[in-house]
Amino acid sequence: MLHGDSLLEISDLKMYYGTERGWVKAVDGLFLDVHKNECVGVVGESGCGKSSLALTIIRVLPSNSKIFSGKILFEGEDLLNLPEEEFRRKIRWKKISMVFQGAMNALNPMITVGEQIVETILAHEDVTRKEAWERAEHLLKLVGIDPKRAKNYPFEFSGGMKQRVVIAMALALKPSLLIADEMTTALDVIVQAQIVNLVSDLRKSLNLSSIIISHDIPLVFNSSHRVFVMYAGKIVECGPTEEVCYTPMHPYTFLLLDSVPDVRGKRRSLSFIEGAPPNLLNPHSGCRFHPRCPFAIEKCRKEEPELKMFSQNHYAACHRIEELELNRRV
Amino acid sequence: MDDLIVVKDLKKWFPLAAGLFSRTKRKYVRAVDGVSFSIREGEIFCLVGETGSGKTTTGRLILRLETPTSGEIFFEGRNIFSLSKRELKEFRRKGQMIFQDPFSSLDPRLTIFDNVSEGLIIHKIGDNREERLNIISEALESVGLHPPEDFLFKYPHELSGGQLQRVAIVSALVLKPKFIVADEPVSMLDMSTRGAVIKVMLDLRREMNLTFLLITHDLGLVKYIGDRVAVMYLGKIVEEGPAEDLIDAPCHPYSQALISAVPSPDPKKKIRVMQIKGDISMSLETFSGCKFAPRCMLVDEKCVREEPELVEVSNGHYVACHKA
Repeated sequence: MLHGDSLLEISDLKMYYGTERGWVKAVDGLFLDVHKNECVGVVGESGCGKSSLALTIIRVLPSNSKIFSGKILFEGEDLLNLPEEEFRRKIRWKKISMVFQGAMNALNPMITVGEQIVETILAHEDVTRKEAWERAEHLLKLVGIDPKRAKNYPFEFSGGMKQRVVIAMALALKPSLLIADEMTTALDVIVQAQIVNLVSDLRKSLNLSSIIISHDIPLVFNSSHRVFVMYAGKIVECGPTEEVCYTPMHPYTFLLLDSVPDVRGKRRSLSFIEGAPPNLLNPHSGCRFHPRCPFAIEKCRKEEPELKMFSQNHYAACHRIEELELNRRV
Repeated sequence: MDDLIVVKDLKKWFPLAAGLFSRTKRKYVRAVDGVSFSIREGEIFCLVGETGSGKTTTGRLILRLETPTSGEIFFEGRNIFSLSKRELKEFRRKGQMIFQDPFSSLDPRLTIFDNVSEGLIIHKIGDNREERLNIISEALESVGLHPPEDFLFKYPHELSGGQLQRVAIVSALVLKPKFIVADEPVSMLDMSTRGAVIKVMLDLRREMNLTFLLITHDLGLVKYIGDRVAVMYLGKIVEEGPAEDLIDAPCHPYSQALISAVPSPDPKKKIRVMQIKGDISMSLETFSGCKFAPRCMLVDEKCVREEPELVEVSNGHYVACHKA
């Protein structure tokens, strides 16, 4: 999956967590690429490794984790080869920043929001306090907060406003890639829509690329150019969002999309996928989805499918792509 | 269909802590501020709204888990706040609740069997352990947890969220209730397993003519399974009507904004967020007019002065807005 204008290219990434009972294969041979100025969505159910992927990219992993193989090429440079100090100085927050799940609750309650942004800037850049403060005010304005409120404390803001502050902090060092992990999960739907629109506008005006990670399928399908569907530590399907939505290739994507109610669609019965995702401690052989897949054959149980290109930029990892006709009820 | 539950002008105000020497008048959070509606037997009545709109408090009031500040609730024609002790126990059996978080609504130190048995013992259903075992096995089977032997003696942590939520339904179900308040029953579950829990709810309704009050913020779900829906905003019902009608063609500016903000899985149907100011906390001050007025784009003088009443705009579809 090579593209000329790739900003980030991840190939065959394996990141496992060491536990008393063995390695938990949270990210297991994963491919992902992000082009310049592109918004990529990553969807998957809880425990499929979405957040672990984000943490691996920005390298804030717990001590029991280990990267077994793979490459994370960012602007042509393999991030996995960078020593920690260099990564901190050159990449984290300066080039790649992240809005964490529940980040709005991570703001320091004792410090004004302006001061928190200033701290971030001063920690990385050689600017005066005054310049940093001006930039903080500018950033707040950018995310739709009155700069006068820079002197307010986090408790004086609502959840949506705090999330805006967190986004401002993530943009403080002018990164080129923003990773948003469940950015709006705790917010009400109207506020969620406002934040999603804000990030999309900022992406365009600041020439950012973004990775939107969420279990909220409608949200991801509504805001990304391309979407990557994750299942049990692997990408099972990826492609242009509309194509994946209308002509899903992998049975998992198909069934997942079918189980999501569409508020603007026709009323119909809801479907669901039997069973639960596999335990990543000891995943079974073959395709990781086969125990839940209604189309599984003997080959699926034995052999692990590889990601195959189906049409331009549209890949899926399934043995039966050619034979199956998955017709979406839209 | 007969009304199973009738709610009349229900209010629940929570007092805010006043300072020791505070001379100002005591302030209240008006969680539920004068709602009236009725739920018909065998229907799924949905309450939707943002955090803090009072939907959960309303659900708890209906099961008498809270005492209202004022107002009345009738269940099968009887006011639930003037039941005798025996009647109350019977009511506690007939009205059950399913909570949002299945991981915390079951006792982690009891097996599934012991968890579910508790209700049976309290209500003296099943004479001995053997009988209770049969009742619970049958119920587990009916919610798709088979074979039941695989689940009976497991502990909650050994089950997935979707399975636990079905166990939670089983604990309600074995008491043969007539009415279930389901407060965000699937919002903690993965998309792919939500359907399984929903299917169980729908099957139960069909087989046992159960009535549901579904409290949710998932408007897509409401559209797919709801019969009627009420949209709440700051303790008031601003719009009420048949679920599909209301979601396809909302009349109140707040419902319109709410529904327009819900993303659709179809990327061609982009969200177009209706212009709306601020967020729900802005409207905490009390004033005489429409509670949505400070955020509404259509607001005029009358809205600020006079509170709109629910008015029928089409068959069974009510809206509280001067502009609708």
